[in-house]
Amino acid sequence: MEEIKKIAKQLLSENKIQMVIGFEKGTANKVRPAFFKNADDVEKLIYNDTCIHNLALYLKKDICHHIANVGIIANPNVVRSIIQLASENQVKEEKITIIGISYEGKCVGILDFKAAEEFAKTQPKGLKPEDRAFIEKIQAMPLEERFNYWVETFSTCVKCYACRASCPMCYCGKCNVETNNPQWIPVASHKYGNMEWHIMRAMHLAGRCINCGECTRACPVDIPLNMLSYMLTDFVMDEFHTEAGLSTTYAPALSSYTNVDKENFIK
Amino acid sequence: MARIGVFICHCGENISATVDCSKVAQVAATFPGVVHSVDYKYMCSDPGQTLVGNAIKEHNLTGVVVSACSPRMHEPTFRRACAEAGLNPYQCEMANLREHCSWVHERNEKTDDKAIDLVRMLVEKVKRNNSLQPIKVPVTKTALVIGGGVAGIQAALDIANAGHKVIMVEREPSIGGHMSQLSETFPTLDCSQCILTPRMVEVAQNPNIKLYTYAEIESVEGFVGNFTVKIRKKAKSIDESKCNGCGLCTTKCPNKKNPNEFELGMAKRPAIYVPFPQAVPNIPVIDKTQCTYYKTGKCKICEKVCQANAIQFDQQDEIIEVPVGAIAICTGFDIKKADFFPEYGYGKHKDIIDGLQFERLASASGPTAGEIRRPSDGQIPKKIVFVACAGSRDPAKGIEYCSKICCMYTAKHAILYKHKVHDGTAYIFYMDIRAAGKNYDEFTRRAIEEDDAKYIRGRVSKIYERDGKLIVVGADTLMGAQTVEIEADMVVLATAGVANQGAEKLAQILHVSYDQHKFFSEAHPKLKPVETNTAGIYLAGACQSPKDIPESVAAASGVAGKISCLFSNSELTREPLIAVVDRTAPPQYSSCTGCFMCQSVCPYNAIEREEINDRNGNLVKQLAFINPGLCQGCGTCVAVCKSKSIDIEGYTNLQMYSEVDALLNF
Ligand SMILES: Cc1cc2nc3c(=O)[nH]c(=O)nc-3n(C[C@H](O)[C@H](O)[C@H](O)COP(=O)(O)OP(=O)(O)OC[C@H]3O[C@@H](n4cnc5c(N)ncnc54)[C@H](O)[C@@H]3O)c2cc1C
Ligand code: SF4
Ligand code: SF4
Ligand code: SF4
Ligand code: SF4
Repeated sequence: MEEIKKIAKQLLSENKIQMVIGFEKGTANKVRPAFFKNADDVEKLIYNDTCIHNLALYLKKDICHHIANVGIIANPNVVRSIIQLASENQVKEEKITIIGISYEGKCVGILDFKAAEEFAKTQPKGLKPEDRAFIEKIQAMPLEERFNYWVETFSTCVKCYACRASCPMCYCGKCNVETNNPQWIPVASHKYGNMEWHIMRAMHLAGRCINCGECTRACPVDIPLNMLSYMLTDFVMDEFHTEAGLSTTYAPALSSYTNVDKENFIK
Repeated sequence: MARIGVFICHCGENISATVDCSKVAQVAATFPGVVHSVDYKYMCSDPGQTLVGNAIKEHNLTGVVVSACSPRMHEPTFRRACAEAGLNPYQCEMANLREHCSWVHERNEKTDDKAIDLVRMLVEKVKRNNSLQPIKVPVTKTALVIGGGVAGIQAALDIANAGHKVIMVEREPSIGGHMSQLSETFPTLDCSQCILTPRMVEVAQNPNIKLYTYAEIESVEGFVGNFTVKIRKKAKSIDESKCNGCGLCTTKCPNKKNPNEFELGMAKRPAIYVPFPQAVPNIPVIDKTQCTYYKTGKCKICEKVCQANAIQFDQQDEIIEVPVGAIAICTGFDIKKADFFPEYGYGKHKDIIDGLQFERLASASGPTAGEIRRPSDGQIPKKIVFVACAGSRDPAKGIEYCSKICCMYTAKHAILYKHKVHDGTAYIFYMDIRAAGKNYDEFTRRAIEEDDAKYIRGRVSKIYERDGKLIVVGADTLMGAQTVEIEADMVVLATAGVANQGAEKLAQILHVSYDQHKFFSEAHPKLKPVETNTAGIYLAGACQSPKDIPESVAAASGVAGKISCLFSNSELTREPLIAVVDRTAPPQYSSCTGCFMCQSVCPYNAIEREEINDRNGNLVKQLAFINPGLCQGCGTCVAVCKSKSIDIEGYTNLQMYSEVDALLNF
């Protein structure tokens, strides 16, 4: 933690960056994301293993808009998010300084995008053994049962869109759920309308989700949304041999084509 | 308020025998927004069109749904009729009651219901149609011809003679293509060089044609009427403006033992060379991989002997950029070499040659001055075996198609052989004799009847060497598949015609489609045989599939006709049914997030990056911009855009949604 602070302070005092996104102490003994604009403030910066929120989210928010260079305390999830955002033309290397933290919590110093790609490859994804077991359970279900499982699970969704708000990949200025001419997704929360929202969300993240799990953590009714994304990640890997969040020149499976793409689904 | 008119056509009895047209018209009259609904026997007839036009005026219609046949048939007819009556043509839609309904169902109530649903969908759509204006784009009246074989030559001359500029790009040091290597040509046995050379010279002399040889296409951008092409002029090491073609350098070059490509390895050439005597332009190039100076830093004899000071060892490749309005692909084909055939010894027997090599042996300007002598020892072969369909029509070899020209040139080879070796015997193994064409069958009969060619129907299973002879083992399927063995002095394989090297790469540069064999694909096998799927790019000759000279030339003239039509207007009019990215008020400017996933899927490279800057010139946002000249309205981008920022005019999300809504929620 001291090392992180040291780097952050130095970068700020040398005006190489004008803000650092990190964590500070919040209420009820919790940590919360924080934005430090001068070196003295950095004293309040903390980093421990409860600092799990995906800070990359803020790179696309107004708070970063007019800042020439933003420093960001980046655990592997954040690094993968930044790489993925870069591949989608959403962030620029010259406007970001990544202060990398490994999954064990060790500071690895400043990473440029090239180094970030290398770093991301060495870091395991945060899939816990119980997540694996859950996915296997779902995948063992016959199709209809699986569909019904998700219909039931999503039926409790209240359409608060916290999952969307917490996802660094959900950066669209105008989300489809806000489009009302035509009204693609019903406004009210009901069984099938919820299903429409979640199918759309899953498809939009297929091959792009970097598996940070933020969506599930944000959900007030405990829907395991990220499990659906995980399954899609596996699927994209099996079918297209690509994975999001590892290369800034990545072409997502659903919006790219090559002359060796499988055509076996054309019947 | 929408005022929609519905016009139900009987199509004679095509629709009315199955669908109750007057009922459909009555029900349609009750749809919200419909102010006029009628049925009529032939809506596309003159009185039918007048009916539509009068109704537009009389009822002040804002939209029209003609419920008749496929819009592919008559959409232009009715849109024109609407335009004449003063309605924007894009306010006219067609519901397909024929192909989608009457032709595929029985006469009953459900069929009527379906017809009603189809009309309802289109009524809902047309209410949301925008009035559109056709797009006008300017045309650069210069054509690019890629490849200077006989097809390219014909296309270039025809376009130039129509008064337009032509830029011809040929990858080899000379134009001429395969035809310049042929001896005599079927079915008339004209000398190939004699009929081709005047055309080659014409290309060089025509003031409308600019020729770049030893050059390749580096990149192509833009769209029909407005392409920008980068051409790489490979360094010839010769200053073309100074060289007068005296040829002294080529005779004095001491490094003369390099394989001669034009003679297919059956002769040698110097490191500085002109590929063949009639070459156009008659300017040598230095083969840098062979030249002693480039290899060792010493020699420069050519430089010393050149009176014109034309040798330039330090010449670099040059890239030039040219604007063109249309492109003709004429890059021709190639043939498989003997090393493609394990059963014939992988090309290790010198006297098993391919058809092109035989052409060179039979050619007066070839390595044997026109005498048929076998490559191994220069003897005149007394027994010669021709193998047709070598590799072609053989799914096991991955070439299931017929190479088309081999039957004919094999018959020609047998005739030429007999003319030159009177006491020799020619055997031809064949599968079928395919000689469809004017005077073609007569030609093959002549080989059999007058020139004594011995046709054996069957495939050759193997060829091996025994005591200086080539033993050809095959089956005669007309004699009960009896095994035949021929002790031959020489074997000529009529190997499969295949796509030219580099065809795939060129297709990718041009963004045109190609088939699984890497031949370029035409836009429609019958109705658009010389067009590609990309507007303004055409194809002619053997780059499309193996073709003989008459076919290649006919296609080339076809292309020239197409391009001349294109160039006859100073502006092009295009259907405005293309994609557009939405615009909203600042600070968003557009719902587009600038992810450019649409850019990577657009098959026509129509999507560009547009920058929104503030008044100080700082970048605010990058957005997708769709080039209206390039977009073909395929809709692929619409499918990948997550924020639904793209709409196809005439097929907007809202229009499509309304159609589905009209179907489901009624
Ligand atoms: C053995 C044999 C015998 C034949 N005998 C006869 C006959 O008797 N009668 C008959 O009608 N037909 C005959 N043919 C067929 C005839 O050769 C073809 O019909 C004709 O050559 C096709 O002309 P083309 O211009 O389409 O292609 P080509 O002749 O192949 O010319 C293509 C040209 O494009 C150039 N090129 C290729 N790629 C590029 C590139 N990327 N950039 C720039 N330039 C490029 C090539 O260098 C070449 O100059 C014979 C063919 C063979 C193989
Ligand atoms: S895990 Fe959830 S929050 Fe994280 S990238 Fe995937 S969808 Fe977005
Ligand atoms: S966070 Fe949970 S409740 Fe809210 S929209 Fe997402 S899934 Fe539904
Ligand atoms: S896919 Fe959509 S959001 Fe992305 S650049 Fe294209 S138009 Fe914009
Ligand atoms: S509609 Fe098709 S051609 Fe037009 S921009 Fe979109 S993807 Fe490209």
